[in-house]
Amino acid sequence: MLMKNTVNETRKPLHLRVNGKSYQISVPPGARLLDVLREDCGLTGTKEGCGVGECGACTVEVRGRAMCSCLLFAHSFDDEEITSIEGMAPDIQHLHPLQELLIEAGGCQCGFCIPGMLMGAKNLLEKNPDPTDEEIQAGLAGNLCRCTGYAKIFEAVRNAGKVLRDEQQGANV
Amino acid sequence: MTSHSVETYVANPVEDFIRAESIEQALEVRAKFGSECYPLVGGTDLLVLMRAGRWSPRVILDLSRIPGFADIRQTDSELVFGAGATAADCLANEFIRTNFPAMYKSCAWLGGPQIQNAGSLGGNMATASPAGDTVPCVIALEGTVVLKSKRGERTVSAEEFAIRPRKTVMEEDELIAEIRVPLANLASDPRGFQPDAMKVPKLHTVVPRPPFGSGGAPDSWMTNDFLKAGPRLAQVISIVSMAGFVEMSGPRTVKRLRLAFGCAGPKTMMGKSASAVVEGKELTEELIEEAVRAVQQDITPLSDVRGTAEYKRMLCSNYARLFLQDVGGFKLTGTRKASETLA
Ligand SMILES: Cc1cc2nc3c(=O)[nH]c(=O)nc-3n(C[C@H](O)[C@H](O)[C@H](O)COP(=O)(O)OP(=O)(O)OC[C@H]3O[C@@H](n4cnc5c(N)ncnc54)[C@H](O)[C@@H]3O)c2cc1C
Ligand code: FES
Ligand code: FES
Repeated sequence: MLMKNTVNETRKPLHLRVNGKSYQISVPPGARLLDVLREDCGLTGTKEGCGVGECGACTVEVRGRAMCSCLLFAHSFDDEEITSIEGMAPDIQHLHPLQELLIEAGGCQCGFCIPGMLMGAKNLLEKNPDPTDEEIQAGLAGNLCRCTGYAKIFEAVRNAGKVLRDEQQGANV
Repeated sequence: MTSHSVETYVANPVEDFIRAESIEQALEVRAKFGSECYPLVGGTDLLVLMRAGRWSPRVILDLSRIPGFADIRQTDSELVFGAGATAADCLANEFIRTNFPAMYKSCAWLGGPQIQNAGSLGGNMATASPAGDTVPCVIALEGTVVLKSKRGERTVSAEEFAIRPRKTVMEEDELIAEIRVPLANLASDPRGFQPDAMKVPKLHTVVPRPPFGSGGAPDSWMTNDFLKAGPRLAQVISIVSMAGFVEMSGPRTVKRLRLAFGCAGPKTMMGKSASAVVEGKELTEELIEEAVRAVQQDITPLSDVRGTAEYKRMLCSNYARLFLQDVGGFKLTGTRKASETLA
């Protein structure tokens, strides 16, 4: 399976399912998930800020958890499901409540941190649908934004939590 | 199918990537490639160090999918962490929150949520950084590390596992399989049963121990806690950390004290002199000050970008004081300046 040319030309086949779509590709065994999503899958919503796990711009969901794709090897997820920011909105007409409410709150400026911020916020609300302000701060501590000052982002997360809780209640009635 | 040039990818000059589906398969690979093969769980140390050019593995051995490798379970006598258990797994574990507040706190602020979702206790231990936050917690509670290889299995005390930064007693063909902590050291802890205090725990101070009820202190009780200083709460390498564990034989009488300091030497440093000062004695404010001074004999912090040696020494003594004052039910007198502590 392993092509034994020079190290750098080595490719290894890989099958990923990203946002429900299958990708059969061949990438170096050391390739980061971040690069594969952007370059091989053409999904450039996932951003690289720092490349060392500190800023969260590259956050994706794997195995049901938010992680930094700059610190993941693509081949860890052979035959697995990955959700990137492109998979957040249910369809082209409808955004996720977090996306809607972030726009409404004016929580987006340059936008570079936003894909990761949204993935981080989704992870937070899934674990804790009714977070206190302190819990929102802690829950988004892995996502840096250099523009907004966070207040409007936190507001959007609070509001989205409420919408998602109401939806949940509606579904339970 | 498009094929990109190698420049497309951040160059990780790795020759092969093997995702083990069983521990037996992992041990085979480890035996075959030895030091050229790097185990991987969360990658939160491995990829950072590879990117910095400090590590260049030939083969990556991914352990993250081995069934059961991340389980946290209890035997009759031990709390057992599979080496792949992540900080997030610890935070989701009710027993750890209530009985092992030190571990809970160290995981609650280990990096940020994304790092907690990926980073494992085995990785924290194997990296052997004196700044690994979960390591002092395991050591203070007298935990052990279970190493496996094709040759068999052995258990080493967590205190003896690391030798100096990035150097451990683990052989080239071994893997960390488990980290274990005796349940006898995790008997019900008054501190942990305060869900509100533990939700977003404060790191730079103790979780206040609730006062004992009308019956007074039980004859025998124990508690543990973790304190950490950093320029901010999340995403930072500790300037200094301390895990404390104490077993008491009366309201203020100390039977056993274990203080484990992070970033205070080439590996986790044990405050053995402080233990000698207080063990078998009743805590008084004077005795605590004597123990706090004794801490200085057992630590050798260096000055670096995160703080001067003097500042780190001050923090170690302040943390020991906070922990012991809270254990003894004394007023927390807060922190002292270096000139007072080090005199
Ligand atoms: C932004 C950021 C913030 C961080 N903050 C903190 C912090 O606050 N506190 C802290 O302590 N750490 C912190 N870290 C460091 C890191 O997240 C932890 O050390 C983590 O526990 C490492 O686990 P991992 O599974 O990701 O290890 P990996 O990166 O997968 O592995 C680390 C090392 O251990 C080896 N290894 C892993 N598992 C095994 C095993 N089972 N057997 C043998 N060897 C093994 C690997 O080969 C490698 O050498 C931070 C890292 C980042 C990027
Ligand atoms: S690019 Fe991954 S955390 Fe910054
Ligand atoms: S909007 Fe610019 S970094 Fe967050």
